[in-house]
Amino acid sequence: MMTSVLDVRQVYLEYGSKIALNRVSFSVNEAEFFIVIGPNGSGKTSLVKVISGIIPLRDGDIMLLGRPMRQFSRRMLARNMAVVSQAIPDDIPFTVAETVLLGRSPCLGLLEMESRRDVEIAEQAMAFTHVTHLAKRRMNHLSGGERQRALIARAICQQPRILVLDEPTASLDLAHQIQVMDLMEQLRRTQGVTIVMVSHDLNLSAMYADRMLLMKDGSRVELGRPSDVMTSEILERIYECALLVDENPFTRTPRVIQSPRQWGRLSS
Amino acid sequence: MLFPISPSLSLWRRILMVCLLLTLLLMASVFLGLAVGSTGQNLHEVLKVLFGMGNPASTLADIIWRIRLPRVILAALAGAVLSLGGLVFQTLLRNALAEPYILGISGGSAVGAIIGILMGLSRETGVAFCAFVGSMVTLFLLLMMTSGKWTLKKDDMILSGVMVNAFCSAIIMFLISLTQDARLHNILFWLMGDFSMSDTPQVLRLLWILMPCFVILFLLARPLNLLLLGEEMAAGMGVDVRWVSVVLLTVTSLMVSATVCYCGLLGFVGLVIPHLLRMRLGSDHRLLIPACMIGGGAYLVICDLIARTLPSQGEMPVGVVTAMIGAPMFIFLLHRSR
Repeated sequence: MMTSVLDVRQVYLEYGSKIALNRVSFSVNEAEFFIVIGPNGSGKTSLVKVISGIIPLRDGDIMLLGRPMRQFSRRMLARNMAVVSQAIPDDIPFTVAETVLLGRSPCLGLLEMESRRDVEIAEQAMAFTHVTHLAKRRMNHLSGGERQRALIARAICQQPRILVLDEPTASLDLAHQIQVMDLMEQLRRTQGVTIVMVSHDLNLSAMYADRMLLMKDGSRVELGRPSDVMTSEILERIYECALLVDENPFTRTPRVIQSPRQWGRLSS
Repeated sequence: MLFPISPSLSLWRRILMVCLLLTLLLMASVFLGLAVGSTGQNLHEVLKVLFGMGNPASTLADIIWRIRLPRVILAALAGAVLSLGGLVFQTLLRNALAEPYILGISGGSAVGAIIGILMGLSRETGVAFCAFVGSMVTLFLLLMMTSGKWTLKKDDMILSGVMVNAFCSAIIMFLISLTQDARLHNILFWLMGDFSMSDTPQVLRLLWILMPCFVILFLLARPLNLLLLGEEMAAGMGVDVRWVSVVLLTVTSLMVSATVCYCGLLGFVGLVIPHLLRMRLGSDHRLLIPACMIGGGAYLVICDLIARTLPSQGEMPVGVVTAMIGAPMFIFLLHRSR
């Protein structure tokens, strides 16, 4: 039996009167590539924020590596889980190297300086995401793909057991999307890091995910392998638009094609 | 592999180097501040007093140790506090225009101080106390108004601060329009910043308040660095964003208020010094915090020296000098760095 590293139980969250997460439960296995999908406003980002401790957990339970998350201090949490969030300022005034090295912070004492070992870890993380040649460039001078790779290197530098990413491929071009996804897959395979990712890109997700969680209106709708979740019935119902699901000829995973309204089966 | 971030490996060394350089600058400016003044231009005499070889009862010794020394120290402290305050607010509020007064501290303390002056209270305790109370009231109101769920609402804070300042300016103008006698001069000098009333016990008292603030800010240098990656990423790297923000805000406001109530609203230092140093040194707060303290101190000591020696009679408010030198210098450096 596989061990679960992240066990989310009946998590409930509301902003004012709006329910953001409605008793969501699921568990993620060790070294799994787990992708959360769903329409805008379905609670994906809220879920990421709760899992990563950015929003405090009020209702429900999360078990992390077999221990209740409430028992983790923020720093302890950051040593086990790294987050690449969506809301990143575009004027980070550090160089790539400085940014990546900041990933060591959760492991350092109040006045402790980065040791040679920390610098080595940062070097490896930068080599892993192919940003070594950008080390001295400033973050705000990078292209979207370079920036995302630098931020992922920063996350890897935390040496997490779980890596949580909120739409890391949004605003990247085709080549860079695949590059980021390949990096995650490589990280999972070579280092056994569990990947939890939120994505809007169903086709990309289907190619890489071991399992997918489909959400709508803060609730879990489906959970399973991409071929089970991504059927035209389920997706049309959830996304409320006409679409066709066939097979990706490369990977034999499901592939979604939207249809313009005038051709649509659901046109009203 | 030769690592590209070796500078940060030798960060301690860099901090030491930068601090050493700036300290030399500070010491030079302090020396000038003690040596130059309206009396005793004889450098030989001044040197004798400074190195303890002159007659300790002479008028010159009295002037240097009782009048110029507290004044120079107050200027250095004020420069340190305002630069540090600007640095923290610029990072915390993620706004390049942030300065220590942006949250309304200046307005609150100015209203307090002017009421104090108009009531005829003594400059040293009465007016300072009124100013301090005024700034604390505004800070408290602001925190009440803008505390969000897990972060501070930055834009709300800045807007509220600007509104508080606007409201206070209206009150200040009103009070000034009612005043006609010599107190008007006092009010104007207070508003533009003024070190002329400093004395030793007051400087010592201020020092006691400021030391713990400096230590706390230095300890929070790493969270400040992480905050530059955005609040969410900082939270994901172990920073309790809300707690850190409130501590930074309170400590900074406290130390700025404490300083301002002794020397008035010195403008511009808090805006320009952090930017200048950031241009040269990068954005690591472990380096910037000590650099801002020492560099800001030196800058204000020099400005004060100019303010009291340039006019042939009397002196001008030091706030005039800080902006008059600082603004062109800043624009020049900004252009060169682009």
